[in-house]
Amino acid sequence: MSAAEAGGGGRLGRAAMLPALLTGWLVLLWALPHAGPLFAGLAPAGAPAVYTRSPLLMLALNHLLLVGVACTIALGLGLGTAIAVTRGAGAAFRPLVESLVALGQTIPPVAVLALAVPMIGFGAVPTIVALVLYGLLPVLQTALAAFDGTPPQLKEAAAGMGLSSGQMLRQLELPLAAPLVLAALRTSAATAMGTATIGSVVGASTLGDPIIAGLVGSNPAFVVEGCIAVAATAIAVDAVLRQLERASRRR
Amino acid sequence: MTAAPAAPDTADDARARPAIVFEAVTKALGGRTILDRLDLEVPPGRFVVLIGPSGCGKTTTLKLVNRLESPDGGRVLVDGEDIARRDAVELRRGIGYVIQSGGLFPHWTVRDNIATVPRLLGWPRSRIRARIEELVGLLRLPADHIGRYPHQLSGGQQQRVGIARALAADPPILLMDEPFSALDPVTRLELQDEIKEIQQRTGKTVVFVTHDVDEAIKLATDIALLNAGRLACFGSPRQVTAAQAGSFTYDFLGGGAIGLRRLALEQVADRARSPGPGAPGRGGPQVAADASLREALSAMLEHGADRLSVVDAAGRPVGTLGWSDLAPR
Ligand SMILES: Nc1ncnc2c1ncn2[C@@H]1O[C@H](COP(=O)(O)OP(=O)(O)OP(=O)(O)O)[C@@H](O)[C@H]1O
Ligand SMILES: [Mg+2]
Repeated sequence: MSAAEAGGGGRLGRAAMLPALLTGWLVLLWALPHAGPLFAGLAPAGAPAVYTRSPLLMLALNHLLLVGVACTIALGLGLGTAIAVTRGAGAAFRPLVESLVALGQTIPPVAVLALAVPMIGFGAVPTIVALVLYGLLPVLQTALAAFDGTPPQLKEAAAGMGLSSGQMLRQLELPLAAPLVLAALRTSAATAMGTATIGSVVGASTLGDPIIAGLVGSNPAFVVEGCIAVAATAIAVDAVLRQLERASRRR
Repeated sequence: MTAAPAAPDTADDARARPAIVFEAVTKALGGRTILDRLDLEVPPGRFVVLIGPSGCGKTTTLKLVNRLESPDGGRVLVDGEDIARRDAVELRRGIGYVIQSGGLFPHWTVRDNIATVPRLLGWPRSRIRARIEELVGLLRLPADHIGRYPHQLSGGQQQRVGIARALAADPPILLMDEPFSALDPVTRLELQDEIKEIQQRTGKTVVFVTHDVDEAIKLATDIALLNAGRLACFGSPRQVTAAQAGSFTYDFLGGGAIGLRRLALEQVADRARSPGPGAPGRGGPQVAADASLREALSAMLEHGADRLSVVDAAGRPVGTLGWSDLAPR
């Protein structure tokens, strides 16, 4: 009984941590633009110490939207592809798909943007394309490994009881793969948080804006402010995904 | 229409029709012929135990019944119908299947595991709940364990859940592949008693695979011994243990120890004599009337006595059993 209570208390403590962390993140993003004196030493003489062209909070939300959309697409595409090539006629395409996705990973993000802009123009879309390209591989590889790793005696028991192949996927394979795939998605999201800053170069508005502005205008204060904001946002995203992963493990 | 003669007794027909039939079934795996024109008939309501050397195709034979494998030649009939013509998924929902271990869904509670097939069949919630309660009682699972996950149960409890899950939708046929082989001896004996009782009470047709000859003799109404892709013999434990010395059946069922296995099949009560003048007094070695002759022999050896006093369930002496009474009749 006491052990159960202690466990409950621990879970309660952990549950309270996430809101506290998210509140801290919001406060930081709100406070950074008011922390001019703190960065004054980094800024060149006469230049502003904090980025004011657009509100940091809005840039952060935009940044999150880009990463969120890209991760959702990577998850859907990666999982869908893994499902398709692990059953029936799709299995023949598995080696091809795996090589293609690994190849996509080797192209540098800047090159992807440089190639994408002439085709689809400036803005958010080329950035999302680049992010999806990098997010896809971890999700796909992990989902493939998870499906391969479904214990054969479980699949046999499931088939023996009369689960159809769709039911086997939904009721057995996906729930067992979920925690692993979500962990991979967390990795993808962390990478994407950093990569998305480059989107500012092609006109997507992200937390890269102050960094790019700082680089272009030789103002290290902007660069530091942007980096702090990106890091804090990445930590917040990681915490949320970690919570999601834990929830999927419990069931 | 002409007046039909006395209508055939359909109930009798159903009882006479074999539950499972293998007709000249051939099956090759990995380039080797595992089953070679196997013929096997399982009458309904029987407890058939399939034994044979490792790798002889016992598991394959079971899987041919629920179409996890399909024959390369011949046919398998369930309830008189060629199963190749039936929908595999629908066929399987009507056949319980228990495997050695590890077959429970780790991400589902005991309750959800047991409810698998009833849910697939679309039973209403209340009926599923009532059935789970019934099975938890039948398999002596602690009622407060139904919300647990499989990894929170002992091996024996997991196997009970596996059996409950297989019985959930009340299938007329139950296939069991070495269900008790990973359990400790005490739990194994307990579960043997329980599955035997459940089978006798429900009249289900059971096909049970084991490599434990004593388990086979204890549970079976019929033992099917598989060797080199065919049936080496099929019959009651009494019939198969009466095999000729030197035959494969004789060797497989114990060779030199086959006499002990025969003793295991007979009850003390059938051989006991009414208490005579030579009866051992109170306090002498005793044996229960419902014990087997094998247990009686063990008691004689243990106590160094050639005569035991036979007692009923209440401990009252009802007769005696001597060394010479053990001899085959
Ligand atoms: N998928 C497979 N591919 C190739 N060979 C197989 C396959 N499955 C089983 N076999 C072989 O078929 C034979 C029969 O296997 P099966 O599992 O039916 O034997 P068994 O009688 O149940 O053995 P055991 O007592 O060890 O469980 C074995 O020799 C095995 O190696
Ligand atoms: Mg086997």
